[in-house]
Amino acid sequence: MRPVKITIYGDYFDCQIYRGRLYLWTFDGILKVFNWNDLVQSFIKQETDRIAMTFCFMDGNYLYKSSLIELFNDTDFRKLLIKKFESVTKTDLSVKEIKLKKFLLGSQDTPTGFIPTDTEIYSNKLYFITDKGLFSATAQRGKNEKYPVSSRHTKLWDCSLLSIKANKYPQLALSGGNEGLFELNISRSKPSNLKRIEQKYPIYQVSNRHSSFSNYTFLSIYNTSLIDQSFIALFKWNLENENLTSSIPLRDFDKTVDDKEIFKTKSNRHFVSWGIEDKIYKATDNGFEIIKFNNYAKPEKGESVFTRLTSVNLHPWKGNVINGSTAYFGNIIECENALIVLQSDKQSLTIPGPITRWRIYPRSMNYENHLHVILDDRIEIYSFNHDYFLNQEQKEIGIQFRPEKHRRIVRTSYFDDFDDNEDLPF
Amino acid sequence: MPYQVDIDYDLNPTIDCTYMISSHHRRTSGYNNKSVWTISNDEEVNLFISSKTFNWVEDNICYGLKLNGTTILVVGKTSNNQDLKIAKFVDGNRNNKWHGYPADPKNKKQDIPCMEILTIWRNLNYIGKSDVRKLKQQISCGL
Repeated sequence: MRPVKITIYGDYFDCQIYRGRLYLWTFDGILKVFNWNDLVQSFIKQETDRIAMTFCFMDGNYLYKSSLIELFNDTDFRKLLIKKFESVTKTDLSVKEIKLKKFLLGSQDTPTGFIPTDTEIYSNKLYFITDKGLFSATAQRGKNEKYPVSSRHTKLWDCSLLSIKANKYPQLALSGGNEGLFELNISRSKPSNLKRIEQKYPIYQVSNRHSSFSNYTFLSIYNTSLIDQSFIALFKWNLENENLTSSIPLRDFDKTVDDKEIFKTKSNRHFVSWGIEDKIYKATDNGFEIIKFNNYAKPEKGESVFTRLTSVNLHPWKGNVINGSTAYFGNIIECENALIVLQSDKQSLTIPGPITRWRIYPRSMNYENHLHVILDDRIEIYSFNHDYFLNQEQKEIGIQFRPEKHRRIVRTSYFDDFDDNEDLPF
Repeated sequence: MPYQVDIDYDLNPTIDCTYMISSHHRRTSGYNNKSVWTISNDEEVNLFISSKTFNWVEDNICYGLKLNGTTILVVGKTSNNQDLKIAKFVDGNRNNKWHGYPADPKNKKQDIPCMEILTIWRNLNYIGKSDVRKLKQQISCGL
């Protein structure tokens, strides 16, 4: 199934989508925040498209409900839903930025005045990095506020970082290039065996080895280096610490495992690998290898932490692989000249470069089926909707969706009522 | 007369500072993993003068591009013989005495130009937005 795409023309450098708001940074240093839901609804010209457009762009989580699996087993229902998705793929969903004014919630100079190198939004806070360090500012502010993002930012650290990545728990992995891998840990569970390198804010050094970008694999962090060996920094719950003064277990660092050991390779040739949640990927000359990461493996019972799943062969990459990540809907591989999406249903999509930036939101509650791609003169917002129809346990490509992901949250669907003031775990 | 290495040249009245061609970056092979220029001594000095004139400066660091139209040319090589296209000039002691070397932003964070300079270069169409993001994140982009 092909994805559905919304195109917004403009000169952008970064984007985020969070709780009904689309954040766009223009290249001349302006941050614009739009009412995403109203924008999507403005594209709906006939009522028969409303359901598909809602699932595509406002509630990517709804169709993963286990209660719908029986409905998907019904061929007629399945065909009807697929037909609805295919109908909206044929619609032109493009708009020039000038026509977005009615959806604009606010426009402001980007906090600190410098275009950020990378951004994340977590728990209503915008985290961003510039040449001057790591900062945060309150986001998702009320509509009566002057700016959607507070202009009073807080400097958390002055280290020059390359990228940041938020976990679904309140932790941010910080990639510092040759300075190493760090973590901003704002959860209640702090590690007892990592060096804290910033006293005012809980920033810990995980490793002094090179870090280009990183991502969370359950409790642990997969660190990717584009010039050195990548590795997984394994964490574990420590329930036996004698200093444990409360019932909150400690998430302690365990050890690092190099990518060569994970993929059992003897060659010294550098390769790009990345990991997120239950899968780790290694890019090869004409495809990639996939390893399943079992966070709960019990070696004493013969279970393996790392299990080789399969290799996938593809047409030669469009240049060397320089970045990669994984969503529920598939793998996203950035090559020098193009962005390639290998969908979990084994179909592929190639987006020719140059690619200014791309983002996926696998930890989002509503946008986990989105891929945002910023090109020279526009942003393309893709919605992938094939993954709902696949057996999650058997699929080899893409994160396995587990229903327990949402057991802690109040609101699970765009269709539910929600309170803007309610604290969310993400 | 061509410029020589390890000599302070007063560049007045062209620009108000001195410049020295460092022999560390002129050796035929890499010295202590330092990058080496592949352009001539005179080209290095002229590149510095033009970069300073264009005000591609942040604090005590100046960045330069050797251009043919809008095409960026190679100015040096890493100790591993990789092409380098960005020149970096520094006034290390803040006494208006400058020297420079070919920058290696892919491997050295301190060689990544600041966002203001990259924005200027993009607005002049010397580099694209994709190059800006890749340079800031030390991703290979041919620069």
